[in-house]
This record gives sequence, structure tokens and C-alpha cells, in this order.
Amino acid sequence: MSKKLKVISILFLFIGFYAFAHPVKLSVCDVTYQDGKIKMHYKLFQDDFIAFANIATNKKLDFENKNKDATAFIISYLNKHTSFKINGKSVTFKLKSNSKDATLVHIYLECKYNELQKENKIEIKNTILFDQFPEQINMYYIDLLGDKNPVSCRTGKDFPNDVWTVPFR
Amino acid sequence: MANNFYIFMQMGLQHITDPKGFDHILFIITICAVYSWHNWKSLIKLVTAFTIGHSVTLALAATKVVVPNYQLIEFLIPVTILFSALHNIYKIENNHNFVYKYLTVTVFGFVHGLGFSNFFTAMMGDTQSIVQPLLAFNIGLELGQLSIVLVFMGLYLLIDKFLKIQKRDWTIFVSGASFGLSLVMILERM
Repeated sequence: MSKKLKVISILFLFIGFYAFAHPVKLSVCDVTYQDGKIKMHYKLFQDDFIAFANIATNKKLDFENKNKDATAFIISYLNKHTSFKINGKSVTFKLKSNSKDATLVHIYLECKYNELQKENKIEIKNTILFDQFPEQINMYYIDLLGDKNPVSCRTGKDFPNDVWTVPFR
Repeated sequence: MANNFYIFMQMGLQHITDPKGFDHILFIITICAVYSWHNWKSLIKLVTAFTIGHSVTLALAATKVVVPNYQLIEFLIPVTILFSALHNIYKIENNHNFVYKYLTVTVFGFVHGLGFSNFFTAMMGDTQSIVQPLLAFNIGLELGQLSIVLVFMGLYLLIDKFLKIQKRDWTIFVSGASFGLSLVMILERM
């Protein structure tokens, strides 16, 4: 095998080992505005979230069937680890529902919001699973215009708060 | 957005190299089992075939042109491993028909791509454009794939150098292990 190929091979080996050394854990939240309501849809990988939730509550939580313990845990956990402000004012969301599929735990929240302005300063604090995974990144896609062109922002352990100016319909 | 590209690339790389979900790793290893460093060109062609296969169906599923039955796909993935392992052993004395192998690996790549799409779509925003994340995720998958090939072939190089195991025996050993592990996966997923 040529020297060049050996060098390339070693390079790719390092890339592979880098994956093990620097894992990334991810959660995603969609924020949309529709019918006078801001809606949030959290997607948490169930491998990460459910195991942690079961240990934290010392119960086997059922995220599929409107289980009271699971719902109570979600509300308490999100209240502790997330906050959402628009133009300096805190916005309180109500849990609409939660469910689980093969890969994710889905959490749906919404709140009424009629005070429309052209440009809005969104402040997000999100420390979901930071205490479990130092490599956790929580990504937001904020589409308040309804044009399917969301603003992307995220929080990580080194930057648990994020402030964005997002246009509003 | 450049940092999001890196995150999706890292997720692709992690997903294929994740030891907890080692079905994709096992498939790549099974393909590699019949080759040595001397036939690295054939190996690269086969890995490329797998790449083409899974890239096509990953894109089709991510754009919702195809809506897979993930339960069926998770069952079929170890079936692809089982078949590949059996083929390795069946053809061990004869020359492998490379065109047949190339087409088979491409088709099996279709199945694995649908499996990847489950993970990929889970990471996407509901209204987000998929083009850049899909490209990043795919690049991550390819880098991870190449790393697996290199680690496995490096392991074979050491075994050949120090233990002097025959290539034929190595192929049977790896293919036999792949067969057994994939059979367990099939039974678990039925």
C-alpha cells in the first residue's frame, strides 16, 4: 500500500477515535406560532431521558399512556431546567401532552400569546440533561413567521443561556 | 449554521460507530472479512456500494418520499448481516462474483439507509430544511464507516503478522461470529 494511502488511513482512524472521545448528545425543540399560541415540541432521545427519569424518580415511568407520575416528572423537570422569555418577560407554557415512539419522548407545550411585535428578543435557558451528559446540546428551531424557515439556536453546558432576536408574524 | 453542520456530522459519525447499536458495524465487518490489504481497491468499491445504497434511501426517507416501517427495517438489518456471512462462507473456496457482491451490498445499503433515517429524522426540526443536515449526517456516516473498516483491517493486519492465521480461517471465524450475532438479533426483533 502506498505511503499516501497509509497516511489517509491513519487520518480516518483518528477521526473514528475522535467520535468516541467527543460524543454529542442532542435534544431538539420546535417552537412555532399558530392561532395566537406559541407551541413547543420537545424531542428527547428516550435512551437518554427515560433511564435518567426512572433513576431520578425511583420508578418505572410510562411516557406513553398519560401516566400521572411521568407527567408530573416532565412538568417539574422542565420548570427546573428551562425558561423562555420574550422581550424580557417570562412566558409560562402549559403541558398539552407527552408521548413516546421507538426513538423519542415527545413533549408538547403551548401558551397563548397575542402581544405581537415585529422583532422579538427571545431568551432561552435550557439545561436539560446537562447534569447527566457534559456533552449534551439542546437545539431549538424557532419559526414564528410560519414560513418554514426557522431560526436555529442551541444551548450547551458551556453556554446554558441563549438570546436571539427572532422575527414574529 | 456552520456549527450545526458539525453537530449533525458528529451525530452521523457517532451513530454508525455506536457499540450499543452495533448492527451497522457488524455488517461492515462482515463485508470486510473476505478481504486483505492487498485487495484494498475491491474493498473500497464495496464500501462505496454500501455508501451509495444507504445514501439513497436515507435521502428518500428523510424527504418523506418513502415512509419506512421501522420495525420491519430493524428486523431486516440483521438479515442482511446473516446473508452476507453465509455468502462469505459459501463462496470461500470459489472466486467471489464481484458484480453480484457489489449489487447485493448496494441493495443491503438501501435497508441500512432506511434504518439510519429513523435516527436522522428524530434529530430534525419539524419545519427545518433537511439539505445541509442530511449532507452533514451522511458525511459523518461515511467517516465513521471508513474508521470501522480501517480498525478492522488494522486488527487483521496485526493478527496476520503475529498469529499467522490463514485468511480462510479468519474469514470463517469472523463470518461465523457475524452469523451467530445476527441470528440472535433476528430472534430478538421478531
